[in-house]
Amino acid sequence: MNLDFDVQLQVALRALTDVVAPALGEGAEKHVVEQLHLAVATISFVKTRLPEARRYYRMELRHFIDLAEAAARMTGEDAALDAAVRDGEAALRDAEADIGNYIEITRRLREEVAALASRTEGEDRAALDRLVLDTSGELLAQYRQWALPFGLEPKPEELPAPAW
Amino acid sequence: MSQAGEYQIVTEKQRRLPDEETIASIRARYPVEAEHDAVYSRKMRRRHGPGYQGVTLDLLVEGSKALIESEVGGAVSIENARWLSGGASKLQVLFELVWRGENGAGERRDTMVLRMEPAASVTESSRNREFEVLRAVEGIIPAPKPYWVDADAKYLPYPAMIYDFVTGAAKPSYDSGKVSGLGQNFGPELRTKLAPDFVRMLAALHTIDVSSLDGLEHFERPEVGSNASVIRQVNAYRRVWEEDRVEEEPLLEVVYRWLVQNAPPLDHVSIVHGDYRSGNFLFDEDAGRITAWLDWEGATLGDRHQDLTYAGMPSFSHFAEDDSTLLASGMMSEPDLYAAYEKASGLPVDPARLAYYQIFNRYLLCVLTLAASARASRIGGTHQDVLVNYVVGVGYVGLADLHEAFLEEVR
Repeated sequence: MNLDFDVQLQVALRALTDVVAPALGEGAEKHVVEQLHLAVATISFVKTRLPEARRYYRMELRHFIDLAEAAARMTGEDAALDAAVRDGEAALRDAEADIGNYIEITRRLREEVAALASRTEGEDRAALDRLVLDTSGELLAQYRQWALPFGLEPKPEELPAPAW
Repeated sequence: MSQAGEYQIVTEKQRRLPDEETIASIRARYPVEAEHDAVYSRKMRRRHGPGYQGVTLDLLVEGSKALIESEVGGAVSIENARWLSGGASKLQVLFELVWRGENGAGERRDTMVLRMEPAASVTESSRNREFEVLRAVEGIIPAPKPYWVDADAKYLPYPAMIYDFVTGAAKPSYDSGKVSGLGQNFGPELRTKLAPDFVRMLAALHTIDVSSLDGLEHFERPEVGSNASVIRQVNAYRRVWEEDRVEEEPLLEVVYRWLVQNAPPLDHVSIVHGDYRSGNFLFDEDAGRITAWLDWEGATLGDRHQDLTYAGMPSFSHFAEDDSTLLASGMMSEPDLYAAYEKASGLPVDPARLAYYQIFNRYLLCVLTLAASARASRIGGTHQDVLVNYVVGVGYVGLADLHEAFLEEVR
């Protein structure tokens, strides 16, 4: 089977850029041209990131497991959060886990951390908020690095290297 | 029963196909203005229907004709209808209307624009409010003259309005590559000409005497000295986040609570455009003047500092030729903008309120990109999902920017 993803995306891109775009010509409607350019940008993003996706989503899951564990240490036991952490660790150990598993558990952890911060009060809540603020910066920079192929960064050279 | 501000986990299934209990719970937790409530609730119920279905020009011409004829009480004809590009959130059709005018005096021909929502939108908003605010600014700010509104989609497939066509360019002829005017660079010569209009029109908008205005029935009237209306606005975006997001972002929950706890009371009630930036005005490149302000759908009655800080958001700015001065909406630096605005409006620019709205607007931008745009493209709800999806990418730059600005504010 030689229908590898990279070639499929490459041929689709060439068709759009080398054949469809020139055929539209000068008189083409602006929104049609814009959608074509954006479709090319979107497929280019997928082509660039697809080979790295598994590593990226593992990195993201690791971040939220660490955040959840730190949150639990601050506030005491939380059954839902603990269960999500256990599932996350198991998914990272499981050689057969796929990207969908990582995404699903990461989303649970995101919700549980936010829910925990909202349930707590006083000093615990302040500490949790501080934890979220202190640990977000590095991950947010990685989100931007991940979205780089869309060409939206004003100064891409200032972003940290990919951590996945 | 859910309480205001209470956090509850909403599942993806509940967002995708919300039942009445889910809708009621979100409404109770994030109280907003009545018109926002109606629009957001309608959006949620609409998710049980089909995604955006392509509509033909003929269908829109037929609906527009029926709307106009019911309003003017006589026959009209529509000619030369064609799609109008531009904007990330609405479908627009340009056409010639042959009719007898508002007073029925005699046959005339006017160029009009039909502006209609798709099934889902980057900014889910009220056509009633957009129509009313355009009426309110007539003769004060150059903007399209609104004629008719079909707020409940009685004549057209989705809620829509019709206004007159205004001329002008959205992008300079020599730099037209920016999507929706994000980070538009007008160049030193043109920006020098446009910047005074940019400031003068904002000052004129904010100094309209709102207390004497009739016809803003779908806006709640804020009170000077109270922060209740500011909190309702914060809740509106929090509600959109709750209804539309694909995944939670714990940072945004921290920021939301801060915005509620630190909402400043109003010192003056202004009409706030809500999207006052490069890309949302038309201009005459040769004359170097702004000819019209567009996209009033986010307008509200509130605090002028919201517009002031919005214009300088990083996504709408770019560096000047010195590579170090960030130009708000491609016009001037933020300090220069604030100084010129104070002079033009006679209203003070308050650093504390500026600081608050810097966070508010960054939060708003994250919600509209990472939640509303992501959801709209995900459910196939628009006529240009590929553009709406692309806008999601802006959200990650915006989220990092919010984080940085928020850390500066709270430390």
